[in-house]
Amino acid sequence: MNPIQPPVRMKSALPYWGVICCALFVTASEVLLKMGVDDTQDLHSAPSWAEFHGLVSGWIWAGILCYIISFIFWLKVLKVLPLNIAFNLVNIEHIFVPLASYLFLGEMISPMRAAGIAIVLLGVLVIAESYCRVEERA
Amino acid sequence: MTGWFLGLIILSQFFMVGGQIFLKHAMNGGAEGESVITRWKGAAPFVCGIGLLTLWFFLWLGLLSQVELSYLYPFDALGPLFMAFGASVALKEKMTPRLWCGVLLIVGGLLIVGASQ
Repeated sequence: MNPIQPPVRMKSALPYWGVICCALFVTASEVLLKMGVDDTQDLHSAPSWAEFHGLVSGWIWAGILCYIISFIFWLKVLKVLPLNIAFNLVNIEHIFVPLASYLFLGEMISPMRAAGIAIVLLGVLVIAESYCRVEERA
Repeated sequence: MTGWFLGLIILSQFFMVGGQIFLKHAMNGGAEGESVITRWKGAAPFVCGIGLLTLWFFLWLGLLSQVELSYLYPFDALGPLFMAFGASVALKEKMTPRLWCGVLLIVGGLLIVGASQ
């Protein structure tokens, strides 16, 4: 069984958009959850109540919503792509999350972390390229 | 770290890989015009997938509460490797050398990111 059987033409554009949308919504979810947690920590000093009050924060709910949307995209991607390719392509979120942390949360990216992110990107490109090659051949 | 704790970490990865495999199995089925009974049967792997991912989530949260993230992150980074093995064994997905190369690059990159914490 070929793992990278190209889907029908109508669906061929979906994997790329689906994977990117899934990774983007996961990224948005992570950023929103972090903002929500930070937001509620400012408001509530008692640690035992912090998690409960976290659910009250709009950021947390927005983060949960983004996570659900990303899961729907993930299911759509799984319908078209083999699991090992989909799972590895969606690792692109490990590039989006640090970038979003830098842009929206003001977190710094160390040179070592940047090197790791670049290697992850290379791995994702290698897997995406192998899928594209089989698709072109078909 | 005890062998018991290491076993729990491996179990969490097993739940994650198993959950995704069940979800993929569920997504592979489901043709148009099939009977209600067949649809319900098709829902079983989906429910199993969601169940295993839920177990993974709570086990992972429990592990995170016991040790530092920087300690656990390398095990999480091995996810793509476990997934490649799981998908090739359970779903008979063929792994080409190029795909292995990509998987190893991702694992290596994630380990470096984890070490930078």
